[in-house]
Amino acid sequence: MLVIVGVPLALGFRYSMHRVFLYDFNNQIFKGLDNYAYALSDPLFIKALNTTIIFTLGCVATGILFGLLVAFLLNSRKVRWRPFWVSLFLIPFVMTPVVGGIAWRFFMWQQEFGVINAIGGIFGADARYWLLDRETALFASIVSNSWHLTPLSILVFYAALSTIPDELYDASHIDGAGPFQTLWYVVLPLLRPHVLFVSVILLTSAFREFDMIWALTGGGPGRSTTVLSILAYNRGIANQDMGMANTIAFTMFAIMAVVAWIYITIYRRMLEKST
Amino acid sequence: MISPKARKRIQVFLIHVLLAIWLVISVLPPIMLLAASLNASALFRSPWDLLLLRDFSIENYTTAFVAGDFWFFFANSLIISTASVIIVLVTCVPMAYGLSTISDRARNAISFGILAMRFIPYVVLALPLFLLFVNLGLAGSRVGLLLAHLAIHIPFATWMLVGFFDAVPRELEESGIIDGCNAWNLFWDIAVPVVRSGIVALAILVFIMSWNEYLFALFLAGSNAQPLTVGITRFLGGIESGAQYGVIAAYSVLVILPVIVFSLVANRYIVSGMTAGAVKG
Amino acid sequence: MASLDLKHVGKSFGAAAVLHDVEIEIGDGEFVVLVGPSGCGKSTLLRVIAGLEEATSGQVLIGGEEVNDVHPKDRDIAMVFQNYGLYPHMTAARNMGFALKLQGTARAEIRSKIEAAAEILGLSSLLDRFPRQLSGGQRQRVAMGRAIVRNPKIFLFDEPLSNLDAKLRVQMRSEIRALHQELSATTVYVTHDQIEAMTMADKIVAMLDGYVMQIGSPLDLYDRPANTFVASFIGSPAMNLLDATVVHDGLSLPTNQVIAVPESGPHESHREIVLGIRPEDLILSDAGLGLVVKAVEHTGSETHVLAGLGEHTLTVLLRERTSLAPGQNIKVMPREGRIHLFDQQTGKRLN
Repeated sequence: MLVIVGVPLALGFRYSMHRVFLYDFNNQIFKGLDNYAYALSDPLFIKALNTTIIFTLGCVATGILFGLLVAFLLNSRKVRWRPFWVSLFLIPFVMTPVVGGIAWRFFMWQQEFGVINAIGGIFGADARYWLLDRETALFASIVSNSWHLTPLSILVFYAALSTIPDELYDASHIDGAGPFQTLWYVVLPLLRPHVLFVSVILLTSAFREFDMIWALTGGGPGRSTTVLSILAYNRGIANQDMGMANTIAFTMFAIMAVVAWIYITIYRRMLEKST
Repeated sequence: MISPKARKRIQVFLIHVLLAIWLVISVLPPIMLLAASLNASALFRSPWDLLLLRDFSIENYTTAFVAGDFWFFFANSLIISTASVIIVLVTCVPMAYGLSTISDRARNAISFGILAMRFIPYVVLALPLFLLFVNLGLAGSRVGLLLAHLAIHIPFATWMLVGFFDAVPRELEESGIIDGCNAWNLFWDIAVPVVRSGIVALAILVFIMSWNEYLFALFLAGSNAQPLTVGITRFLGGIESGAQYGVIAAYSVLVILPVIVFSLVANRYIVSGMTAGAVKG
Repeated sequence: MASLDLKHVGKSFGAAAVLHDVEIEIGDGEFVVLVGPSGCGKSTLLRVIAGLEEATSGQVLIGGEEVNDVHPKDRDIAMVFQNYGLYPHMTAARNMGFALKLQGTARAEIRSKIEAAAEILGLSSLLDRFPRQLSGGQRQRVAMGRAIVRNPKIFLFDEPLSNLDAKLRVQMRSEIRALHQELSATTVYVTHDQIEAMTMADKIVAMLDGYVMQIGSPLDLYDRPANTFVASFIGSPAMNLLDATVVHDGLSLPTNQVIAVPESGPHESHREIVLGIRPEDLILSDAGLGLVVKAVEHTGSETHVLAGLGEHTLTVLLRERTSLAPGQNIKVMPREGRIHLFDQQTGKRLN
């Protein structure tokens, strides 16, 4: 396991410091950190970084928000057919992301005959070229990818909610809390660790997302949905510039390392508070 | 004035309406695929026409099988996914059992490493693996792709299984020892049966993750080992040159059919696995 | 403080009725214990009083006013839950003050009320701890503190001691009693433990299958159980109950032995009845019922002799040590005027 992860990491790190072109593979030149300096001054890289951050935060926010919402609905008293809802809510998550992208691209966002514009039309909204418009392509990608990720957050929150004993709801009822006060003072504080957990999972997934965006837009139009994963792919395979591709990938790795460090710090603090 | 009872009933009704809306959002994309695949011509038709199967035909499927070279990609997907499941089970179940019996400190170190894995963007692995496999002659082979899958699966699977094994009550093992179990019996006759549903959940999740995988396949599969996810995107390339929406939809349905069936039949396992390990496919 | 009246209260979940026509009057400041086996509806009744469940029929009156449609928070009640119902993410102090905070009470006032309650309960040094940092008994006290700070008209307890170990349970029992004496608030206390009921209650309500079987003081229930259920449920070791038939000179037991009949009671011959005798009301004697000793149990302060009468087993409670051994034959007599007679069909008391 160490080999299969460690060797590529080490190799990748080495490539990221070299000039490596696929068509000229045997002629590698050591560049040190120049590759990184170049990447950070490259407007395309900066743009992709921006796009990735917006995409990631958008997916995390949407996923958490709708996850909480649906989980609350599912967990409300007197809801019937819970297993039925759960089993179908699962589908976006297990569905192959590439195919999910295809479904959204050709049958949901499609400008002339897609479902979104058809429904919008009922309410009098103008048809839009969602995926072909720089203004909306990223938004549409976020929606599609959140669709794919939200089941995870629904299930985790739902499982967490069902572990809260009824007695606590009774107690807060007796203490005079209304539904929203119960939510704010009792339920949400209890879900805090789960929110942290889910947001990390969503964050790491969305940050490295490739399949869904690739199938939806291929990174376009223009470069409006080119996230770092796609940029790295383009550089490495299309431009055959493996050195730069690895540099980009390793920058992603570094960003994730910082995120991991922050997460672990928060997690530790939470653990300390709870003992 | 509405009585409190009536208000409650309306509230319950509204909750079900909202759940139904979410249900539609969840299943509409795959339903649209299915609907489009069952219409002779999916282009230039409103979604309502498609859903009503105004132009019913199953021709798209025959086209998808033939023109899409379906069985070639299908075989690759099936082989890689099945092999992933088998290898993961054979290696991770004993490994996780071992880990769950060793000291906490060693365990913490390992679970830290496994946690760290979660933060590695796959493209970081895919790029150097691509070059490495070219050198090793593994490029374009199923073995290479399988190895890449295992790199992702094994840490995840081990972590999840350790959690399951940890939950086996100690008394069970102790009573096993008193009943005369040796180490193998303790593992095979006591611990494994107790966590069986966890193992099933894991196997299903690994299969789904492998089946759905695209990035590694794109980098590493060459032309001989391409799974369905690559197959369909290659097919997609033809869309501008007149490939049929309906055929793409049919192909898509065929790709997702196994995972959808799994999720409907075994959703209990998937849910337990997801909430235990919270995965990203 | 207030009185609490339940009038014809019924509750059903769908087709399943769990409370039938419950009628209880609880005076101002009274300590009432609802007791019965699990599933008898006592907890549901408590939840109806609290307003956590809606009564399907009948009325709940607090201080003479109907509260059926009144929200729990406006009923001026406080409740102590079986698992304490403490919010795990709040300190003991915040748990206790949560209700007041929701009412918009000033912070300083909340603080002083919490401190006053903590003083009574001996929690002053634990106020900043979280529930998980407290022992079972301490959590129990926090849960009571939460009830006290609200200064409610009525205290409700739902099996509050069932999660404590035996020793602590005895201690908390007297603490709750003492607390009641100090606050003299109307209290409804649910338990399945008849000893708790006997030791704590001013008034016991014994319940079975959603019906009130008897209401009365602890000794009322002990000395004059209204039916076979109360007779067997209250008292430990339990009352001996035997089927018997009325004959001209007394009661004929299953083994055809006959014992004398008490002064009052059913006299029509051949009537099928149930005879009840408490273990301590059976005395060893030279004449009387012949029994075969099956086992002898010593509690230290008393001795329980389990003895066979045909296929029945009777318990005889002796205050003194004994050298009786299994297999020995003994003879016992019921203590004068201390036998209970019940109807075999209805289980109702006859004498």
